[in-house]
Amino acid sequence: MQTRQRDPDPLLPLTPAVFHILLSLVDGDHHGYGIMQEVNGYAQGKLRLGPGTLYRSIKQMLAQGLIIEWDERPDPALDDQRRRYYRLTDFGHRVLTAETERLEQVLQVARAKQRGPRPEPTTTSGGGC
Amino acid sequence: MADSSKRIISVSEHLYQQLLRAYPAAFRHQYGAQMTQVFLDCCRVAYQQSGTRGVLQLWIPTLGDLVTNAIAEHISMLIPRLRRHKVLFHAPRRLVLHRQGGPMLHIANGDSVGGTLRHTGLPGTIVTWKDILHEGPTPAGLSLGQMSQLRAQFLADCALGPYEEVLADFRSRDTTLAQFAAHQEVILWFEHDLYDQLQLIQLLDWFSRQDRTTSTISLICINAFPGIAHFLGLGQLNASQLRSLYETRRPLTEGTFTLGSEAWKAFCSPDPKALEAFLQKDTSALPFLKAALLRHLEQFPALQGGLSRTERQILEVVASGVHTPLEIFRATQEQEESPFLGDTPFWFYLSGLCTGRKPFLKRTDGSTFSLPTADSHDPAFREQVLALTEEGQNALVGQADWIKSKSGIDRWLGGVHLQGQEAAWRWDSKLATLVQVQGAA
Repeated sequence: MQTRQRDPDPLLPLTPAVFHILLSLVDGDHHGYGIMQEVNGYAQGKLRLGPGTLYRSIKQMLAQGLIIEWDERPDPALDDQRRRYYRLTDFGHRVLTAETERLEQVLQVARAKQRGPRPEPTTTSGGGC
Repeated sequence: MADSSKRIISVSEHLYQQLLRAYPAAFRHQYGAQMTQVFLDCCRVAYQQSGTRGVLQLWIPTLGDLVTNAIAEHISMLIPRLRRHKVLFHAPRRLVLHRQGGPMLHIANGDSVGGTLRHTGLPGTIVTWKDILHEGPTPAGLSLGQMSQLRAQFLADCALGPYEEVLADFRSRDTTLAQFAAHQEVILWFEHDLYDQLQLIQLLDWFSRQDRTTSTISLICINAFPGIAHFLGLGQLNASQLRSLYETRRPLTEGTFTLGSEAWKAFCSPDPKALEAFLQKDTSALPFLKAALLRHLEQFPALQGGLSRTERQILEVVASGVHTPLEIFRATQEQEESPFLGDTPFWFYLSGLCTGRKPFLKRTDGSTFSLPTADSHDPAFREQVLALTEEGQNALVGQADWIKSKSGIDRWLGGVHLQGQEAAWRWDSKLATLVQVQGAA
């Protein structure tokens, strides 16, 4: 049962849905609708997470050990017992960090390319097929 | 307003539930209720914001989400089958297997057997069921999810892995199990010893509560294999030997599920007499179960001396002149009719006997006994030399009691929690029965 540190790289790049679900769980456990609200809140309508995308992603993330189902509820008295809560695992954290670093590198390349001088349009003469 | 809100939301809920049929049955079974709940939440918010028009507008992205994900989920379930067909195309022998067995789910008793199964050519998904259920709590009345959480905590407390990773491992296992209906056949691969028999009855109890109409659940369970003089377990078999067992599998009957479920409930009961009562039944449908559960009862503190059978065997082996951890482990295994205890939990038994107010074992150099840091081949661990203390010598002749020497007990055996200055139950080896101790907490 001794577990080794798993390498996040084989899971990268993440789909936008998986990335945002991981991000939504960083600050605490959420049930499905809570995840959806969290993502809709900061994605400002740029990413629409329907129930199908949400739970297909959750199924995949459970199988990959990125998240776990969590029985403890923030306030059991106020909550619907049918809801299932999800929690980020240590491995999920590591995968999120690795994906964020990957995106940062892509962003740096993209910014560098946009800052650089655009090549002059070249005129060609002659040639042909 | 309230009525029209209820009506549009109720109609939407009904329609959404009907449309969920577009998903594969296993996925719908697992997530359908939660998806409906989320959709309902969205409906309520849409109605609050824009009334009926808001709910109708919500349907546009919802339908898109439903169609694309239902198709994607069907494809994701088809891909493994297509891969199998591709392999089968070049392997006529496997094609026969596929026709006979269809998509299979193999549940094996550990990583070793799971790994060998991958080389047998048998198609299907493999999941390993690795939990030392003979150690630590398994209280009654828990769902599989709750039990996994509790067991992960126990295993983490024993330093057998980080809690969240052990739990993620169990959750992944449980998720695969919950989707068993997607397979035509589920094959359980187990052997005769206590470790395996407890896993088997936990599974049979779980399956006894499932709708099994779409899948056949079969069992392969052996205590011997031709050509192997000293059979210990399926882990000894190579892929070809394991493959040969496939034809011997037998579909489980309703009676076997009921028997397994009764056994698991008795094992998890806080009253150990429930287990003794269960052992009076006809358990021949699970031919190795009775001996395994009797071995479990021998782990209760003995009436004379307060030691479990494992602890007593350790003291006897050391008294016979075996002194280093690995040698002690091997020698105690030879005393078992059906060895079940892995080396890692065994080190905890050894460590337990070396600690406390009046330990029964000590290191001959006067140092404290150390558990292995990374693996049991670490020289600092394996070269420790152990001997009986005076108290340990007294215990072997009935002059000392382990629970009194430790000033109490705090130990789970299945669903029984022995806790306090005295164990509430002890094992009378002469009469082969549990005895309730008067005055115990």
